Amino acid sequence: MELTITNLSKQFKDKTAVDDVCLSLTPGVWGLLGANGAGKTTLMRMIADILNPTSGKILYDGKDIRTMGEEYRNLFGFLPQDFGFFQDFTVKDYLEYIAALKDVPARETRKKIDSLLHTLTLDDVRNKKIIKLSGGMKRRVGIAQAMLNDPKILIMDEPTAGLDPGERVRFRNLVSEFSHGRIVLISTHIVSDIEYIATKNAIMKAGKIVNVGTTDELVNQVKGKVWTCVVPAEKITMYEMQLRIINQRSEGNNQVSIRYLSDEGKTSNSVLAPPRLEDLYLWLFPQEEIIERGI
Amino acid sequence: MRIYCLEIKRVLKSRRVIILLVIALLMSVVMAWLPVIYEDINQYDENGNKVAELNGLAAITYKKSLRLSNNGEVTPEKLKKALIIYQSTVSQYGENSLYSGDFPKGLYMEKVFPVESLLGRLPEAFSNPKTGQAASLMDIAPEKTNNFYKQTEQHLKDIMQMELKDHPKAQEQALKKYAEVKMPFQFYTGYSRDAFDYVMLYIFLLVLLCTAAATPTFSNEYQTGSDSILRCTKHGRCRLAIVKVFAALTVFSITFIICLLLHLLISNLAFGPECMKTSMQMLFSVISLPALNLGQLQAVLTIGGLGSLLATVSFTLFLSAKFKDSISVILSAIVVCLLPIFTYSAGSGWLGFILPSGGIGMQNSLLYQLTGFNYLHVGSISIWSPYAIMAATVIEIPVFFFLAVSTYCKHQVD
Repeated sequence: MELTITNLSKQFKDKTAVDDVCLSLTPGVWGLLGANGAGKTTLMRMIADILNPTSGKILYDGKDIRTMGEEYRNLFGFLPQDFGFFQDFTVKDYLEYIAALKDVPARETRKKIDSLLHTLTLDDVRNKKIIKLSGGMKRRVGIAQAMLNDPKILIMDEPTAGLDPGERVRFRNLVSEFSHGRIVLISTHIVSDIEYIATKNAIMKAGKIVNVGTTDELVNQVKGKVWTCVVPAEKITMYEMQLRIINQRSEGNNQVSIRYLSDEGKTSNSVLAPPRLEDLYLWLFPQEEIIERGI
Repeated sequence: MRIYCLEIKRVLKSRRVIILLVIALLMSVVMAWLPVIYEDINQYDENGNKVAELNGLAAITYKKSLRLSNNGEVTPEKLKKALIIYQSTVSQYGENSLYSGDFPKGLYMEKVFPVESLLGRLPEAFSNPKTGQAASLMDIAPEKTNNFYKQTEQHLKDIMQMELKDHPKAQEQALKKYAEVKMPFQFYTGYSRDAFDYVMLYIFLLVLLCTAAATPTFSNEYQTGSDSILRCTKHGRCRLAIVKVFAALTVFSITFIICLLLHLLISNLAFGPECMKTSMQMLFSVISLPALNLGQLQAVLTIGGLGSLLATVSFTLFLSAKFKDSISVILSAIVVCLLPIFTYSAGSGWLGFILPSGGIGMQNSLLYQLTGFNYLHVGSISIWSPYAIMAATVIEIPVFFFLAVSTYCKHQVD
């Protein structure tokens, strides 16, 4: 099973959202990392066949997904980044509706819904109107609908947005378990959500895939570039201006421990730290780093 | 079928739809009852002194009791007898006294009121052939009523000469159609013409309500993003679009039928079901072309109204599938609903007739087109406006159905 993206581009008036992307997705969890506006959502929409590419093709086992139609959608599960529900439906009504659209046999629907609601800890709200659910619950209902038909290809755009840490852990476990023999593509800003479950990651920047590899392979690219040191608290503003600080933690005694990215140690007490996927992300997207740090 | 049932459930669970349907049901009762409460009459004793002021059902019952003897076939003999009574009674005081209030009330109620409605169409039938001006009942010789039905045909020819002089085909069609009208006419006193106006007004209101309820069918899902999920499912494209359109048409058709039948039931029970046997020529123009009684006219208006509703809702669904913004959809749909009224008033009736909502409104409505002589002339062909309205409806329902489905299928998430 393989989903092959060949020279895929999408042009919106004067902006190229996806630029000549080539990627071959095989079974396993794929992380799609990129800053805002990198083209992740546009790419996912084209994979979901709800947005036509300007050029290029997406093939599923050699067949163009646009000609496969129903056959492709039958293998497919999709959780968009921004989505709404039928506000007057209960969770159960909504999932029954989607199950019918996904052609899940009526006799299996109830069992499937029960199982997903249990896994996603939504049992208590099954008869609650969706409009009354919290953001995290709505997101979990979204995840449930995407998985209703046991899709061979599951695409989730920012699935963990709005989930609390416990829910994130459960989500990671669920996806990890679900991904056997399936293609699961997850785009996220929260690198830690995919760092330990992604079989492979693709990194997007300005509409292009700039890097593809396992977490270890990618992390290796920032090996020797991640440093930690302890600096006086009163000098932290100066360091913030000079260094690409990823993290800082107060150590007491007016000292702050910082983690930063650099080709070389910038202070005498700097020591190399084992890199993580997040470090690579911030190395590749320095603008994002600034935004995330709120400067 | 499973998706269809779930879609029906979804539509019926929508708060907006529930509110609009409840309004439709309430208005059905209110608008059926309004022409009843407008009915009023004063009761006088033998000396002409007012003894009671009757309203609503009591007024209808009293009026009917005074005119009961006229019920049945409108024979020339019956007309003659009624005209003689009218003329002999009125001549003593002069016809103007009826309008000035000088005519003795007791005598009016005893002699004139009972025959007035039966004679109601004589002035039109015996109108001036050159000017079309209605004759006075006092000027019609009673013997002339022997030829009442021939005179109605002659009057039609006169009107045709005046209104459709350059369209002999249309004249021919009209005369042919009028030849089908059953004569002698039937007349069962009591039904109010206002009640028919309220039927049309209610149909118009129902179409507006259903249009408003149909507006978010697709556009709301584009707007909220739920569409992205639906169209990624196996049946989320063409099949879902077809089901959505079918479900909307089903819900609104059933709503229309239930609400309108309730409206007609209340109205007919209030005015008397026997009135349905009255020939429409006795309530509207004596030269109305359709061979229908009031009951059949109600059935035609119901079918025509349902057609207009389905065409308008189909058109609205097409707009909903085309545009993301629900406000733009509802505004465009309402403008199209109202457009026939304005185009008709502006003298461009044909445009109004071919719009999806062509059969609804006021003067442009199917009711008034059925009682009139509006023809659309295309080359040598002349089409009577009710036929044009119904033909346009029959064509537009599948066309907009198809357009709604194909537009939804082609929609791209942006």
